[in-house]
Amino acid sequence: MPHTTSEVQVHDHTVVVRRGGQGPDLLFLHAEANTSAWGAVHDALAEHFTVTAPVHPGFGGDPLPAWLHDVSDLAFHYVDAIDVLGLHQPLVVGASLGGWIGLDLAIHRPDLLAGLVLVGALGLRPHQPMPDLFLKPAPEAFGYLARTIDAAGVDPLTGDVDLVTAVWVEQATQARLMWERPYDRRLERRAHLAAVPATVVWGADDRLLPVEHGRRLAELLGAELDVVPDAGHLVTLDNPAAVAAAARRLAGV
Amino acid sequence: MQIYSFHLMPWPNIDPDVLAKSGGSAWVTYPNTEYDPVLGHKLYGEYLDQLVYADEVGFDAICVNEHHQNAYGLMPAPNIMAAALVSRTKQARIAILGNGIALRHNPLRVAEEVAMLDVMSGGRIISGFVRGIGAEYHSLNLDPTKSRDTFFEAHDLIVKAWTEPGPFAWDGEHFAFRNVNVWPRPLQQPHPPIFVPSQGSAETLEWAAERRYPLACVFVPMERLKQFYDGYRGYASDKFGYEAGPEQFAFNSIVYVHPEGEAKATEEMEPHIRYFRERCFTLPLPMFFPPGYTGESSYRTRIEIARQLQATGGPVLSAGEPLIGTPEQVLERIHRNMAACGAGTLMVQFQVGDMPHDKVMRSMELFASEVLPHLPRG
Repeated sequence: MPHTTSEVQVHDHTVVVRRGGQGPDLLFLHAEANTSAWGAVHDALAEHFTVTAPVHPGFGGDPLPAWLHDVSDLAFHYVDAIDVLGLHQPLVVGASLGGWIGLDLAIHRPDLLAGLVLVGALGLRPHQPMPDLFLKPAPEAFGYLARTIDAAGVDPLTGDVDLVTAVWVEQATQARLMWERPYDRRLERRAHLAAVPATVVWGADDRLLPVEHGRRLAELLGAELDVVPDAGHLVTLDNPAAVAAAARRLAGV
Repeated sequence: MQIYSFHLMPWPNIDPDVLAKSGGSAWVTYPNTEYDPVLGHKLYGEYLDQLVYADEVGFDAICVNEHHQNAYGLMPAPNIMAAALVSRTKQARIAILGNGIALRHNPLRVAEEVAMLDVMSGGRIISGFVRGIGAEYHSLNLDPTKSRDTFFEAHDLIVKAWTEPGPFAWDGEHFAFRNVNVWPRPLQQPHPPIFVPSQGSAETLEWAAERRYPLACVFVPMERLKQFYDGYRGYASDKFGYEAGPEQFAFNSIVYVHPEGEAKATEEMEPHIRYFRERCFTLPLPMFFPPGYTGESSYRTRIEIARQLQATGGPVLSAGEPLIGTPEQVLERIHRNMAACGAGTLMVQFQVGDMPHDKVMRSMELFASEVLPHLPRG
């Protein structure tokens, strides 16, 4: 699917944005792994939506911004970005960290969104500790995120030094957001304020957070839970069509 | 030449099977059920005796350091070790190399403790400051991306607390206080000398060079050591307008002296070196250098070093020529190694890995009688 890449100025930050497709506005919030490129899930969504996929500040080669303290800073960044990008009540689709940002955004400004598709969303405090991915070698850590991810090249001892370094630099932003607590204790009590139509999509084989976590999230939001078989944490990678189908159902397109 | 005796206080019974099951590292995840407090009591006694002996035979300083939740070094609270040494020593300075000031939620605790030690010891404290290695950030759950800035701010706050009249307010990015008013103040004026053990990142080299703080990089080959020290000298001359002298650099090495010569000494030392390399210094890259812990170019250097170490079987405990042999051999090599990197402070480590107390003491005694008297002092 053809798409364009451009740079826009959001408040004081330059952001790379990829856009493609036709239909109602959809804002795609990417996950924390090196997944900010246009991929199969964007293609699948672009068949029915006008997809806008910005790169989060601090990702995709953008250095960790000094103003970035926690995920709420990214949620408020998107309050600005929705305006600057000229999006009209977009459906927000967020995966993992992107889901956390989308949830926080919907809690603060539900009026800006048409709805919320949360794919393996982080944010809610888990009942069981999550695996410590920061301690694992990069290839093994990537394996926790998706079944289909190719991570052999990111091994620091054998991989291409530029790629390995790029992954490590991007992980710094992830560390800023998720090192001390990979969740926000406040979300459980605030979730009801995200008063928009919502769907929670969860990989049946998620190794990072079990399906039960997705069920709790869905209950708090009054959302439908869509468990996708044969998919890991990032259903956006393991089964892009399932994510597109969930978005279409929620949007009624 | 200044001569320091350095100790890591390692755990000597790291089990290779347990190590393999806990991710191959003696850090962060190596289970503390492997720690035996009864043996630990005996070890603290022996290790402290070794440092006290160094004071008795005339070393300029004895060194303690800080590492957390590991079997590599059993000094999570270096100021406690320094306090134990204050009351048992008379002459030697006590070098805390260093307090992990980026690891403390409250740097004023460090300012207070080091000032106490300085007053109690009659002004014998050398105050090293470190960020703590990457593993510390895993063990203490501290965000590594804040490490460097936190370190810089903690340093500025501590030095100000030592040197400017209190009470004053501090409103920083990482710390805020309405009343900074540290009691006691240090005895040494303006404050205890500051020392910077470092892993050689460009950012730290520049920062230390600007303040003329002495630097020590450990466990890297001589070519890297020279590269790091030349980097510091370059910042000093090109950016800060002075020539860095040898007193600003320490050369660190294990030492083993044996009357029968190099072959015998090497044979006796080899198992302890292997123990250190294969069991103690076991730091996979994500543990050693978590994301954001250092700058991008420093990380690229670290990838290079990790690949070199993997190819050559692990870290080096001695840059340059090994200080293992007869007293005469060790003496000659000390001079050549120190000249090679331009260092004026010799920092020797007698105890290595699982090396037993009597063996350490025999080597220390021979060093004290046959090497130390022949080294230039001052």
